[in-house]
Amino acid sequence: MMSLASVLTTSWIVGLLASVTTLRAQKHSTSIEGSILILHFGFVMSALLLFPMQSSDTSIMLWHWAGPHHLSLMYNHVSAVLTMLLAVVSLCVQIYSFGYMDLDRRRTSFMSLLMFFTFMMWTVIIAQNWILLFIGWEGISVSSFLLIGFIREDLRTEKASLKAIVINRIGDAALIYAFCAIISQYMTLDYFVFSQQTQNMLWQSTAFACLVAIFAKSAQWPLHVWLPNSMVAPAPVSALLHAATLVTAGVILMIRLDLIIPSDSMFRTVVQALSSWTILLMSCSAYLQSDIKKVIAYSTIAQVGYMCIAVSVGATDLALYHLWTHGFFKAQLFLIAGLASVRRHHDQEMDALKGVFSKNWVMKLCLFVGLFALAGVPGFGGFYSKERIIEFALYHSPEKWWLQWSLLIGAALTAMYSARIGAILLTPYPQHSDEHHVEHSVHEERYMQLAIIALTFCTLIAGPFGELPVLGFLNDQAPRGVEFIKQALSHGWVVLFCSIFFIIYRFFSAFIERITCAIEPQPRIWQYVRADFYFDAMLDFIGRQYQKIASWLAVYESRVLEKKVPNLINHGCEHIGEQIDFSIKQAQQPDRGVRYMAFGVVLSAIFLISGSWL
Amino acid sequence: MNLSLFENSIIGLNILMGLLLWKHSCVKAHWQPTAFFTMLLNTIALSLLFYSHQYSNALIPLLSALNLLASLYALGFLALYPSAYAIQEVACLLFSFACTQGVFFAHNFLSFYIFFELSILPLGLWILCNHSLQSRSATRQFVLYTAIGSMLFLLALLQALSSSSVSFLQGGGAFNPLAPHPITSLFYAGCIFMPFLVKLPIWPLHGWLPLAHTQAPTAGSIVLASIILKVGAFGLMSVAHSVIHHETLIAIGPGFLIIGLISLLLMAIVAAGQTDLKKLIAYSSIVHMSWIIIGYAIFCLTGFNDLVLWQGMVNQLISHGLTSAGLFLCVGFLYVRLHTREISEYRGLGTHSPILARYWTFFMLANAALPGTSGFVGEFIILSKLYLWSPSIAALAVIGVVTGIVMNLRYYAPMIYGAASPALQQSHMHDCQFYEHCLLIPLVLGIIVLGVYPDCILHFIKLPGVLA
Repeated sequence: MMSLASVLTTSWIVGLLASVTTLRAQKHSTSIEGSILILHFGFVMSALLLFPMQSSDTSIMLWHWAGPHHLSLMYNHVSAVLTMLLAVVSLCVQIYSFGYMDLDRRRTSFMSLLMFFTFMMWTVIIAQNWILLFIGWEGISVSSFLLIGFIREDLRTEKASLKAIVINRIGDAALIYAFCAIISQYMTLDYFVFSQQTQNMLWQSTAFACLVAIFAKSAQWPLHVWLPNSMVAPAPVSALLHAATLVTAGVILMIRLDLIIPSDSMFRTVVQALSSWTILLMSCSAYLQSDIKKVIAYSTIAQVGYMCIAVSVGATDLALYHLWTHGFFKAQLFLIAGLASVRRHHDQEMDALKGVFSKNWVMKLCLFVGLFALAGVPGFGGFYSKERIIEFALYHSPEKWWLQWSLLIGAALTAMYSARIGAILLTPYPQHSDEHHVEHSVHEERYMQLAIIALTFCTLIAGPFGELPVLGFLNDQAPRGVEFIKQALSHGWVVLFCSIFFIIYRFFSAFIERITCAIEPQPRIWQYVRADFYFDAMLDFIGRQYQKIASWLAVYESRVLEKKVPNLINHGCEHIGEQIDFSIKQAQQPDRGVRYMAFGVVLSAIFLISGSWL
Repeated sequence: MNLSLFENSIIGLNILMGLLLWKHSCVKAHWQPTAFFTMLLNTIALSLLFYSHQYSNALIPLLSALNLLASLYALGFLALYPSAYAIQEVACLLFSFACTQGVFFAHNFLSFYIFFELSILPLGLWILCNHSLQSRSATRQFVLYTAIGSMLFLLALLQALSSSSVSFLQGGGAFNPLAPHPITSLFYAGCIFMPFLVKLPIWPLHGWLPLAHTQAPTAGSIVLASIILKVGAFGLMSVAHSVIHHETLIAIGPGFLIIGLISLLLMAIVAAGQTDLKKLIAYSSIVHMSWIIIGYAIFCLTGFNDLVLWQGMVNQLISHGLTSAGLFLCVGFLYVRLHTREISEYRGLGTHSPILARYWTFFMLANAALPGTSGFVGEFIILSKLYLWSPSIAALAVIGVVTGIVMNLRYYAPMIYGAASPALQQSHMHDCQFYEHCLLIPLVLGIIVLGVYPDCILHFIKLPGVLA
């Protein structure tokens, strides 16, 4: 126990110090980049060290914050799994960005921001007191804001990053409100204290406030708008933040809250309803996108929807498992998409990416591992986690037919859009003699390919071999989940068949369709779905209206304060001054002067006499 | 050790040195040695004072230290970028330091009132250093607002002193609404609060602040935001609190809450519509001070014994002192380079001078009260106490979190993103200099330390009534 505490605290503080490099790094500096890489490697090592030590919950007090709150760290099985995921993906992404940002003069700054993000995300994962969790929670949204807007010359990044931080801040406001409610209900924000009070369930209003925060962070409908927009960020950012870790922070919060939310509450039904809708809408939208990163982004939103549903039907362990496998294969897919677009002058349109891996069979293989994992082909990552979530929902809540159908249709749609990506990328490029498309040297692609291959390896083992560490040690903690899986697996062939059928059908049809004919004219409803029913434009409109009202109020205010009030005061003063002037002039007339003087003398005499008398 | 000897010597020294500088202001005198020597003496005297006297409550030492810090920063800025009227500015700085220390150190109502009134003078002169037509009207407004408030204060104070035996900062009892004339006592209580609400400032009485900030030189803005506003808060939280009967405070509480909420939300929206950088930050100061009013209202309504809430309010004061000093310093650094305060002129600063942009990022986030920076502590504590009193009003106040970030992004986004504006490109301005780093980095560290370990100062804060 002692060694666990010391390792955890030491590496947390090292991370704290390492993230200070964000303040320092400015130009290309190999020493800083090297130390960042070494720190990440150390992080992976400590994650490996810590991984077997999650048999019991550990908590470490750091220091007193304010009021009744003490900042403290904790470590349990959830933290262990997430730490492992974060460490591995983060290291791979760092190595990748070493190549990806090679030509950018602010590469060191970029890498230290990634380091800062990793540290803040780890704080979210291992925070016991929720003040500390909130510091990390906000730290990741700030680093996301800064990383989305990293390329400052582009106007799209400005819009995307502002949208990201404002929507996240709406979630934060709700979370602050929920924290206030938790304090007033449990008198503490210490997770170990309030999560154990299972006889004292969370208030409905608190749960819904948390829901807003969770949906804003995890990009669920209707607060999802920032995530597709943030695809203007560099590919490593999308891989680490917007696929593997940041968007799952909401799911982590929900897993934590699971114990104190009643199992038959309206909260769970609302989560299921909204997430089902999210899965359907976002999967359709993903199928219709033409930008490869947007396809993967919409797919991420849908997959996070699966996790939310898993938590809300009571399978927190399955949600964690899906988070784990999804983190690996989605990060890998983003990295591959980044590599592909680098080869085409940072063009992310799928049509431009045709045949990008035609001479690169390793990358082709990696792409297919990622796509199979996403689609849930048996033997690959997504199959192990996603199909179990579907089965769990099928057997656990048979009365909710809409939930089951949306999960099944969502799985089929996933297979369809993954097949579409594969089909388009495999199509040979029209003019394959264009060798100048390969602008980057082999030297820097080496780092990128290394990272992709490492992540592919992780994707391959995360599914089948992750079962034991992620689900295995949950046996004593949540027996209902594992028991249920064992039951469900014997009937699981229905779902399996469904998925396989769609993959085979869709993959071949899409492949043939893409080769033979151009894009067919799309019906109007498809356009609506593709643009999320113009949700994005609506938000822009609200923003513009807010700005208009603010400008009008500002002009009005300055007119009142700088014109009207001074005028009022000036006229008032002038008026009084004129009165005084007038009476003085009156007094200066000879006969009146005597009268005034006499009056004054009498008045002062009265004052004097009364004063001395009293 | 005689306490008042020290305090008087600090005040006297500053006034003397200020007069000396003012007298020589027409001559090209070397003011730097004088000013820095005075500040050195101040620092030594203050630390001796705090060392020799065990304050039972840390509010006064904290505010004095903040005062010293803000004055040092203003002086540092003047030393870096001396204006044509640098000597007058330094004289104003020393005067204002003396007056505000006098306010904090006051032992009775008379000395408090005198120093409180005197603190108008240096700031008014400071704004006039700008020598423009607008600066005269800004000074006029500043003096009028504060003077009217002070007259009402004097009236009510005389009434309180004549009707009951109120002693300074020792718990009041004047103006009991259960007494024969409830309306009268409420009126007098309002009069007592008036100058502090003007100085704070709060929504209907804030008219002077944006004007004063736009017209004051950078050093003046730093002192105005960091200290003069704190004088208002100090008066509200200590002096007014000790004069007025608790029953009256409970009666006034809901009114303060409503004013605070309006101020919090409305001023944030108005701030988002500004185009002048300094004005926008001035409005954001008003938003920060609304949290104080909300916290004070809750403190009154929940029985005057909530230590945590009191600590949160003090933290909000100190944190605003640091954050606004940082922001106004950054504005000053931009102003000396480009001589404009229009936000649109600084478009593309992020690509042009990335290190300054980095400081802007930090102070913007601190101003938006992100967790991990000092601003969050006060806001969170005040909000959680507000929730305990009324969850529905807390739901209203929490909107302030969102309007707060929008208001801050309003100046941040145009400055950071996009290609550099023509004005920036032609200016050949340089990025952050060594001495600018020296000024900004301690503020950054202070804000972070107060955010993650606020207990280091809150530990020493006690409830009012036990002020030393």
